[in-house]
Amino acid sequence: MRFTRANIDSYGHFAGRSFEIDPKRIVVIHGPNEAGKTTFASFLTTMMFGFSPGNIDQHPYAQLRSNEKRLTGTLEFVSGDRRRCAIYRELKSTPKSRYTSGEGLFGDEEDLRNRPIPSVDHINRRVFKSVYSLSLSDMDEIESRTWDFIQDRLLGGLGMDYIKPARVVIESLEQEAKQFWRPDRRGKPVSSEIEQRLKQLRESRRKAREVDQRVRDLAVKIGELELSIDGLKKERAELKYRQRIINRARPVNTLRQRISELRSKAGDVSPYAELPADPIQELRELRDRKSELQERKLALESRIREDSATIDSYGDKQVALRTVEDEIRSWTSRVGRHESSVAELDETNAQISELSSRLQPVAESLFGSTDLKEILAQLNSVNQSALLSDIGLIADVESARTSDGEATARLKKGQTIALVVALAGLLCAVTGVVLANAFAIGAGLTSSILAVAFWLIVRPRSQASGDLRVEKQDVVNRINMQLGLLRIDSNRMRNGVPDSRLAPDMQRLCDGANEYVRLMSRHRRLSETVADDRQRLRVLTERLGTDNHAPPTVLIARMSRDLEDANFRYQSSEKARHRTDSVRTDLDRTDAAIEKLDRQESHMARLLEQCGDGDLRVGANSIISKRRAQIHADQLSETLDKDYPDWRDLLDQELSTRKFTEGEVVGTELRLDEVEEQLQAVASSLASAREQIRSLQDAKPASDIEGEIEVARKDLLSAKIERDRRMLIAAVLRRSEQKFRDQHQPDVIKKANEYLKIITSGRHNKLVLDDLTGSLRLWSEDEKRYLNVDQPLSRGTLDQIYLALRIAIVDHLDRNHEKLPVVMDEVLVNWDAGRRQRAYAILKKLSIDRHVLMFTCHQWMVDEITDVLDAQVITLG
Amino acid sequence: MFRFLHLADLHLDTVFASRRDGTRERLRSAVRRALEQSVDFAIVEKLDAVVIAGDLFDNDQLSYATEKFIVGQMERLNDSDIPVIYCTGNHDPGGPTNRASRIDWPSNCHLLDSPDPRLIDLTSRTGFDVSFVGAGHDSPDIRENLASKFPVATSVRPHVGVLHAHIVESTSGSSHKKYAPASKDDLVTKGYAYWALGHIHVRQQISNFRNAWYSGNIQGRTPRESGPKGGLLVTIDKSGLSDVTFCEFGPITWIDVDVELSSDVGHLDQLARLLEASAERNLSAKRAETIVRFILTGASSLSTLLRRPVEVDALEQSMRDVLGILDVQIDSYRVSTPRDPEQYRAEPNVLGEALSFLDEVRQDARAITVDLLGDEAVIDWSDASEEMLDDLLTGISEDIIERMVKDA
Repeated sequence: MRFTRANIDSYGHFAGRSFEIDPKRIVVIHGPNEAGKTTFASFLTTMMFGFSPGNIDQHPYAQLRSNEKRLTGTLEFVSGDRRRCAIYRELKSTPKSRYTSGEGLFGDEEDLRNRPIPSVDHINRRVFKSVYSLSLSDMDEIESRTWDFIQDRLLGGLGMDYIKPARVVIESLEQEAKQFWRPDRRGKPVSSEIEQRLKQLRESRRKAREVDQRVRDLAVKIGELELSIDGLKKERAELKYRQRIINRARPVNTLRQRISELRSKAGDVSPYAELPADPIQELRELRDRKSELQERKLALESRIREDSATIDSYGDKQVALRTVEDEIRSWTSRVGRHESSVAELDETNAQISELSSRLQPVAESLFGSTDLKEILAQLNSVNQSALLSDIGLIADVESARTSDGEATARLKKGQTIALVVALAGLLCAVTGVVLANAFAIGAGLTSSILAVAFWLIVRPRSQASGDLRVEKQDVVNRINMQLGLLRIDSNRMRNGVPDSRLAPDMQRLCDGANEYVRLMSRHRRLSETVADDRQRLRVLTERLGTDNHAPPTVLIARMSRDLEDANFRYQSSEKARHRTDSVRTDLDRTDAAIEKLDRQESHMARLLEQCGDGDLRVGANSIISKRRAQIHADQLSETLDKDYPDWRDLLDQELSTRKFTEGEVVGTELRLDEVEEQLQAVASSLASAREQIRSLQDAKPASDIEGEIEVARKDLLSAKIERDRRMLIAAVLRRSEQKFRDQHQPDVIKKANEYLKIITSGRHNKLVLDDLTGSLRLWSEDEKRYLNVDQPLSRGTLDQIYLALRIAIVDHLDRNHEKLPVVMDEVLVNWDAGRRQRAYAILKKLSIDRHVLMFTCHQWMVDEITDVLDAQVITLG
Repeated sequence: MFRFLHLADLHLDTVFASRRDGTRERLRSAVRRALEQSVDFAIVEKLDAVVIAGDLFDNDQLSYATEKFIVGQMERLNDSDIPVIYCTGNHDPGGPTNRASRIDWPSNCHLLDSPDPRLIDLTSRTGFDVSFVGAGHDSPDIRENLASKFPVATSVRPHVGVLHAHIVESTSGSSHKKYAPASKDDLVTKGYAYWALGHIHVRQQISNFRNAWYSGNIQGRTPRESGPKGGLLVTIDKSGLSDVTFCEFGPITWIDVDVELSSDVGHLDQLARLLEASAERNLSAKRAETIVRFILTGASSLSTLLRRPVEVDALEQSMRDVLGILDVQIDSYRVSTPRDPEQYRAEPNVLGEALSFLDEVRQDARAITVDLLGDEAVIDWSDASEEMLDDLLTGISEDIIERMVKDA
C-alpha cells in the first residue's frame, strides 16, 4: 500500500490542501514545529482507520469553518495488487465515507462509514500507531529501559507499547496470590489469618457445645436433685409424724389419766348442780334478802292506805265543777263584757228620752201630732232624700226664673235694634248700589251682617228662659204629690208651693227620725244580750247548786276557786290511783319473792342435809370438794383439746398404742437430723446447679459461633478463590504468551536476521532465542560464541538489533496481508552519523516492499535523506 | 368451622452467616419472636389448632435454652387448649438420637416423627371435626415419597395432610434438597381438604392446586428469603377449604435492591448516593428491622475496588448508618470493568491471545482450570461447585485487560 495523493479539504488547520505523494520513493514530510506534521500524520491514520472519536464535537482536529464543524479529505493510494484506491471520509454529524478501488467501469465503490479500509483490516488503529509508527521516544527506550523489558515488548507484545509485558503482570499476580494464600508458612496471607480465626472459632464452638451439654447435664441433675428432695421431704414427713406421735402420745395419755381420776373423785354431782359454789354463804344471803323483803312489804302496805284516802277526797261536787269547767273559765273572761253591756243599755235609754223631747215640737208643727212613731212611719213611706232635694230645687228654679226674666227683656230689646240696624244697613247698601257708592255699599253690608250676627247670638237665651218655667212646674207637681202622701199641714203650703221653712224642718225631722231608729235598734240589741247572760248564769248556778244572788263577778270568782280545788283533788286522786296499782303489784312481787326465798332455803337445806347426813355444814363442804375435782378435770380436758387438738385422731393411730423404746425415740431424732442435713445439702446443690445454668446460659450459643464459622469459611473460600483466580490468570497469560511467542517469534527473528545481515553487512546474521531463559542471543563471529543481547554489546549493535526487530515485526504483522506504510517521526535525529547511515540501509531495504514516510523539522535531515535515499520532500507550512 | 395456623421451617437456632454479631443476635431473637407472635395470634384468635410442618429447629444447633423456649411456647398453647400437630422435617428429624423425639412435649403436642402416616382427629371449639394426617422424618436424609403413603380420605370429615416434603412442581425448589420428594398428583389423589407443607421457604400454592400450600419460613434467614414472612391461617368448613390467609410474624424483613452501575459511577461517594437513592425507594417504615442486600451489576471503574472486602465492608457500614437499617450486604462481584474485551480480542499480542484462550476456557471451565492450575490450585476445582467456578471466572477477561493494558 503506497500513498499517491492526499486531498485535505478540512482537517485541523489544513483546508483545501492537496499533496502529491510519490509511491515509489521514501517521502520526507518536512516543516517547522506547528507546521502540521502531526496533523498530517493523523489525517493519514484517519483516512485508513476512520475517525476517532467519531463525534465531531469531541474530535481534536475539528475546527469551525463556514459556521460548521467538519472534517473532510481524500486519500488516494495504490494497493499491493497495484489497484488504485481512494478513500473519501467526512465527519459532520455522523461519519461518512466512500471507498473506491480499481478504475473506470471495473472500479468498486463501497460505503465504509467509519470502518477501516480493507487494506488495513488485519490490524487496528492502536496497533498501527504503536507498531507502524516509530518515534524518537521509541529509540530513546533503548537507553532508558533494560533489554529484558525491550525484548518482552518486541517479542511478547510485538512492540505494542500499550500492553504491559506478560511477565510483569504474571509476577504481579503471583505476588497478589501470595497475599491470599501461600503454600509455605511464610508471611501472613489472608487465608492463614482466616484459618487461625477458624481454628479459634471451632474451639469456641466446641466449648459452646460443651457448655450446652453441661447445661443439659445440669438440667438432668436438677431433675434428679428435685426427685431426691421430694424423697427426702417425704421421709422427713414420715419421721416427723413418728416423732410427733411419740412426743404427743405421752402427755396426752398422762392428761387423760389425771382427768379420769378427777372425774372419779367428783362422782355424779348433777343432783347438786343447782347448789351454789358456797352453799352456806348462799344460805346466809338468802335469809338476809328475805328480811329485807319483809320490811319492804310493810312499807308498801302503808303507802296503799295513804293513796286510798287521797282518792276518796275527790267527790261529786268536784266532779260537777270539772264538768262545767269550760263554761266557768269562759265566764271569767265574759263577766267584764256583761257588766259593760248593762252600763251601755242604761246610756242608750237616756239618749232615746233626750231625742224624743227634742223632736216632738217639730213634728207637731209639720204634722200636727207628737206621735213620733207614726210620723216616722209616714216619713219612711216616702223617699225622704228625693223630697228634700225637690224642695231645695224649687227654690233654685224660682230664683233662676226671676233673673232670667230680666235678661230676656234686655235681649228682646237688643234684637229689635239689631233688626233695625240690619235693615238700615241693607238700605244703605242698596243706596250705595244705586249711587254706585262703594263706601255706602260696604258700610251698609257690614252693618247688616253684624246686626244679623247679633240677632242669631241672643236668640237661644230667650228660648232658655222659657224652659225654666216648664221645669219649675214639674218640680212643684212632684212635691205636691209627696207632701200629699205625708199629710203635711196645709198651712205650710202656698199655691201648692211649700213655705221656705218647710225644707229645713223636714230636714231636721228626717235626721231626728233616723237617729231615733238607730238608738232604738241599739237598745233592743243590748237588752237581748244582758237578758241572755243573766239566763245562762242562772242555769250555771242551778247546775252547781250554789247561791245565785250575788253579783255575777262574785259568783264567777267563787266558782273559779272551787274549780281549781276540784282539779287539784282530781290530779292527786289519779296519781294515788296509779301508784296504788304499782304498789300493789310490787307488794305481790315482794310476797312472791319472799315465798321463793322460803322455798330455796328449804330446798338447799334439804340437799345439804341429805349430802351431810343431816348436817348442813358437812354437806356443804362435801359438795365443794366434788365440784373442785370436776372443775379440775374439765380444765385438764380443755388443755388436752387445746394443746393436742388431734388427740382423738392420735388415739386412732396405730403408733399411739405402741410403746416406743428409748432407742427408737433417739433413732428417730437422729435420722430426722440426718434427713434435714441431706435436704440442705441437696437444696444447696440444686441452687448451685440452677445458678450454674443461669451463668452458662449467658454464654454465646454454638449456633452463633457456627454463624461466625460460616462467615469465616466463606471468607476463606473467597480468599482461596481469589488466590486461584490470580494464579489462573497468571497461567492463562503464561500459556497465551508462550503460544504467542511460539506463533510469532520465529518469523520475527528470521526476518530480523535478514535485516541484521543487511545492516551489519553480513557481520551479524545469527540472532537466536535461548530455549531455557527465553533471552535473545547474538552470534559473535569475533568471539565464536553467542552473546546475550544486552550490555556490553555496543550501543550501535543494539540499535541495529532493535530496528531490525521492529521492522521484522512490521513485516511479520503484514505477512500474508497488505504491506502497510511505516511512519518515522524524528526517529534518527539524535543518532550519530554512523548509526544513521546504518539505519538508512535498513530503510532502503524496507522501502522496497512498503511505503516509508519520514517526518522531520530538520533541514539537514531532509538534505541527508534526499541525498542518501533519493527521497521525495513534502514541505508543510 | 375449623381454623388453624399453618407454620413451617421456623429453623430455631439456625446458623446465620452474618459478619455482625448484632445482626446474628437480632436474627436469632427474631425467629423466637416470630414463634412467640404466632402463638400469641393463635391464643388471641382462639384457633382450633396449630400445625407445624417440619424444621421447627435445627437439630445440630439446638441449644438447651431454645429447647426450653419451644416447650414454653407449646405450654402456652396447652394452657389455652390449643392442640399442636408437629411433624418432623429433615432439619429436626425424629429418632432416638435426635432432639425432637427426646423432648418432653406438653400433652397438647402431637409429635409425628415417623414416616408412617398417623391420623389424629380433632374437634373445633364449635364442634366441627377434622382429621389430621401427618408423617415425619426420622432421619435427616429421607428420599422416599412419604406423600404416597398417606391414606385416601374416606370419611365425611375433612382431612388435612401435614408433611415436610419437596413437591416437584413447587417454585424455588431448586435451591432446596429434594427430601421426601412427591408430585402434585400424589397430593391431589388423596382428596384432602388441605395439605400443610413445609420445606420450601417461599410461600406458595402448589401449581394452581388450591388445597396444597407451603407456608414458607416464619422469618427470612438469608437475602434470598426476602419479603414478608409468617404463617397461613387456614379455615375449613363443611364445604372443605374455605380460606387461606397469610399472617406476617417475621419481625425482620430482607430486601433485595438491584443496582446497575454505569461508567458515570467512578467514585465511592457517587456509588453511596446511588445506593441510598435505590434503597429509599424500597424501604418501608420498619427500617430498624430491615436488612438490605444490594446486588450490583453493570460496568464501572470501581469494579476492582469493589472486589476488596475492606472497601465493601466500609461501604456496608456507611450505608447502614446512612439508611438507619439493621444491616446492609453488598454483592459486588458481578460488577465488571468498563473496558470491552471485544476491542482487544483480535489484537496480535498476548492480551488478544489470552482473551481468545479464555473463550476456550469457558467452553470447558472445570477441566481447563484444573489443567492450568495443576498442583498450584488451593481448591480442588475438579470437585468444586458451579457457583464457585462462576465466582472464579466471572469478570476474568475484564480483570486481565485491567492488568495488561497500560493506564487501565
